[in-house]
Amino acid sequence: MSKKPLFTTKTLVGTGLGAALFIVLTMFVKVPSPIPNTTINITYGVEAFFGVVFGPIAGGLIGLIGHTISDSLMWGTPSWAWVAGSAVVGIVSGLCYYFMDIESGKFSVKDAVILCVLSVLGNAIAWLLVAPAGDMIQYAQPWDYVFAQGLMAFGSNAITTCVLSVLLCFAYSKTRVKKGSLDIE
Amino acid sequence: MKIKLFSYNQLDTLIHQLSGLTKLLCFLIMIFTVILTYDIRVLLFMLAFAIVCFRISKIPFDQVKLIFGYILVFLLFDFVLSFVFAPQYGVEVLGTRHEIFSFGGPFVLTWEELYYLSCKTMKYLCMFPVGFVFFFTTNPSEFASSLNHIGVSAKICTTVALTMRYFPDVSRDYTNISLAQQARGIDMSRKEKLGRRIKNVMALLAPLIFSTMDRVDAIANAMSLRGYGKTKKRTWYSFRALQRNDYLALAVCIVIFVISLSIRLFVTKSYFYNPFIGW
Repeated sequence: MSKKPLFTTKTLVGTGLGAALFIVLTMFVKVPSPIPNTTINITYGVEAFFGVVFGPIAGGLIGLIGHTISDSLMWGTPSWAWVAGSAVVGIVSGLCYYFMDIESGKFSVKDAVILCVLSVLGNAIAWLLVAPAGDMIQYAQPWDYVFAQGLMAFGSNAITTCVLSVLLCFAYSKTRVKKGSLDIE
Repeated sequence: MKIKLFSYNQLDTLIHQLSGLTKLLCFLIMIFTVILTYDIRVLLFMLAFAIVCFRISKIPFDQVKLIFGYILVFLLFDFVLSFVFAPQYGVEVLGTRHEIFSFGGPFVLTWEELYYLSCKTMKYLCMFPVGFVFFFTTNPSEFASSLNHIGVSAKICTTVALTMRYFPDVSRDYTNISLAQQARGIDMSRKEKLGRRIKNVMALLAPLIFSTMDRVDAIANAMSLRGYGKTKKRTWYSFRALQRNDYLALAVCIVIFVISLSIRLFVTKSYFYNPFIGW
């Protein structure tokens, strides 16, 4: 685990623009899923990718700010439990930041496995625990009902997070200049 | 795809004149009041209060008509599904049982369940006007400064301000990239096979994200060059000092909060108010 700065000006800007991207993707991008009349939410894949590049604080804030604003724009008021869920996904998958060094162009298959494990874990904590518990506290709803909603969200979000964030990380690492890529002739 | 952020427009109403800080605090107090109560009397009052605020702020109903329609459909859906998932939940939380009629099996409709479900719907309903009023009447720049004044770190407030400033730019980028890729025949709709569809999503996401990353570098460098983040504190251009009306509005919200909480703590002595005791 390498020592890395936690919140620089670049992290701050990355978080701000990441959250803007989160809002745009949530509001405009509708990809039909194999199940009729449902859409795949590709937002969390992008959130996890920003987490890998900028760290857990950035990932969490992207979820928090992005989800709060996109909910307010679409519904008039945020559903706080699900906002907290989005933040958790960002924080947990952002932990990858400490295990890998994507800025110098390195992203191996092992890194991809770590990223997948962490993003499934993050999604599980968010949609099977945080979001249903929050909904239960806020609206005193039966646990079965909120848990069923969480389970559906977990199923689709975990898969898209893994697939998209890994693809994006591979693509991004190729655009970075590798350390020691120059040879003496 | 034409969308104005928060559709904020400057009007001269009582609510627009309030400082952003006041509105943020009132918004949070109202949310906590609604979260902490399950008493139909308090909820009815909150709904009426929220609607009055909505009327005062002169937000044209046309602007929220569509969202309002979605909300109603969602609430109806939630109402029915909640009943199907746990038909006896109302009886469980209220502790009394008055049947209306049976659909067969465990699906017995009781007054308690009906009451519980209406309370829940009401809880959702009174959040919406409050949210509309807050987001439609607050200047986005003032919003960031208000966040800072309730104690959120200045860096996070700058992040929020950046998000709101760059949302239109990113959404314009998205439109351009999406149109360009469609012109090249990249299709994300149901007509493509699933694997192909995901590949096409990547063809859209990759340029969008890489252009955003370039922009992050440019903005971060510009901010560093201007000395951003050298000191812990910063001042806000758009902050308005609190005036008499701001204190009045805050007082009203705090009084409502205290009354609602004391009804829960001293009068009903529980989270739920049960009107069926003694039927």
